[in-house]
Amino acid sequence: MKILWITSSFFVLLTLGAWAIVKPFIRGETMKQEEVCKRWGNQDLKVNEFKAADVMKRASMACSVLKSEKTFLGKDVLDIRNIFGDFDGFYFSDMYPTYMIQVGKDQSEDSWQLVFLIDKNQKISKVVVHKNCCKR
Amino acid sequence: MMGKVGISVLKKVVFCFFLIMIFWPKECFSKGEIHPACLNFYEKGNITPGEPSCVWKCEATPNIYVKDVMIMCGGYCHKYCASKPKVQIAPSLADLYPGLTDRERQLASQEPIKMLQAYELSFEAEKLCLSIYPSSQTNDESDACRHFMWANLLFRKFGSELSSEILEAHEMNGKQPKIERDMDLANNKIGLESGKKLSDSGKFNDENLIKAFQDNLKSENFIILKKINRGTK
Repeated sequence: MKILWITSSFFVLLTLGAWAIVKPFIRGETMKQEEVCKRWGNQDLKVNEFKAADVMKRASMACSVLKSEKTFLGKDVLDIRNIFGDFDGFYFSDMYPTYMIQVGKDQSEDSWQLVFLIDKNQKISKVVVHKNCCKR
Repeated sequence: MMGKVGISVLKKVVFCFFLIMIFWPKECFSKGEIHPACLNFYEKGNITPGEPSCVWKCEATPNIYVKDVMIMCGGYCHKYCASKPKVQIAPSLADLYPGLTDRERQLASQEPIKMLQAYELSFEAEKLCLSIYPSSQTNDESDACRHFMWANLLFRKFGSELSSEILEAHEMNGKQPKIERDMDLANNKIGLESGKKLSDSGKFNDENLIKAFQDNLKSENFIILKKINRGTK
């Protein structure tokens, strides 16, 4: 019985430790909302404009998207495609709605994207500004 | 130096252990000899062991085909319904990576370790492409690159059959526009052919992989939907 407890505790601790190591690897680097607003401005989100906008214009609305995150939670990826247009960034697989907000000229410059994270049912669970490239 | 190597090895060991923990409950502890594809079906249909309606709901499960072999899932029902309800002690692959298609989840339940290796290779493919392009985007050259590299790496690791299966499973995303799916499938195919060529010639390495990608790009073999104007910072 004692051995079972020790073994179980060891496995639980090991799993938690491993989870802590793996977690940032899965998500990559993200930027806090305050920093997003400071860096690219705080223009109101106008979805029709966002669809047709260039990267700079989209970036200026990223803060507003994060602020209105709740509006998008639980929506399907197809709804996001309808609202914001075709995806142009990339995060893990083609399923995640992603929109570039900064594209580096080369690997020495950062690229950032707006990512709508999804759950197993492909419903939006969180919205983040994620570093698309490059790790330095 | 030794310290760094030690930490790196320890990280790998912990990571592998963690992965085994993710997949074991489904494959090894849950319902013994019941075919994994049937388990998948039962779970998707919310057929829960121990519930009074379990047997009749389960027996309505259709026969399914795995690699052209018919599996009669109705035959496992009594065993399944008599088993203890599964307690998930660790998150599944779908929890870790929600962006999986149904077919990918099915494959992950059949070949958990291989599917995990496949996803590690997809990260490697992205990394290789980020050495060529300053960002990972959709429908452009960097997208073609990721598919090409991943197909190559999968071919080297698993050979033609499983690689094709994984790549096809990845594209079974009903929510992706057909034109984008067709692009991905076409570029995967070029990657598999290149993987075979490089493996057969014994020249499979990162340098040759990048060269093969650039040769194909120059010859306009890839399907690329849009040329993104890079550097619009």
